[in-house]
Amino acid sequence: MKNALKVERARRDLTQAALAGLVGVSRQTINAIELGKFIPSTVLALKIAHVFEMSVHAVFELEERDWLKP
Amino acid sequence: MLVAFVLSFTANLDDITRGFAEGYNGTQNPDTGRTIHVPDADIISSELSVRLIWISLALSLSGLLMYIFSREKVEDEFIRKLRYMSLSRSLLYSWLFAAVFMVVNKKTEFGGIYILQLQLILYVVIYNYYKKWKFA
Repeated sequence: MKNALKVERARRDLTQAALAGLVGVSRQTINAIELGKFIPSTVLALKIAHVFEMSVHAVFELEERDWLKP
Repeated sequence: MLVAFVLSFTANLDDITRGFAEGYNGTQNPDTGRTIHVPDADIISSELSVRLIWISLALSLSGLLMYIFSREKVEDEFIRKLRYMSLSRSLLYSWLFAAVFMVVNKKTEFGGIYILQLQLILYVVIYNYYKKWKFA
């Protein structure tokens, strides 16, 4: 799953720690999501999208290979 | 936990020195030609050794409980995932190590207390590696 976290964060001049504070998670969580190592839960994805004032689809996007996974 | 590790090491000091001595016993000194015999050096009495192992076990278990009930400042879904991952890997690696140790070294027993200590140490190392290094 691709995400635009880094781009949107840079656009709003937010640090990882600041975004983490806004959604109530650790900085490591934001870093892991940005690196594509962790897929957030629906609630967390909605919270992140809410902070960016965007839809979840605009922040997180499915890739072709995601459809191949069971 | 470190204290527990040191105590269990101290409790087995005699076995460790005996292991070194056995390697020398029966061999010949190349200079004098005499057969070497290293006497048993009882550094720690067997009672003290048993007592140290019990203290070490108690400390290891309390260390385990402390890690089970410890919480991060922000305890979220990713941190929980890291905990599960570290725990499963520490279990896997410690049992693998124990299995290899038992196959390679049939004489020495790798008891439960040492497996527990190894699991604890591995858990702390793996968890901190993920949190402070890989996803820092």
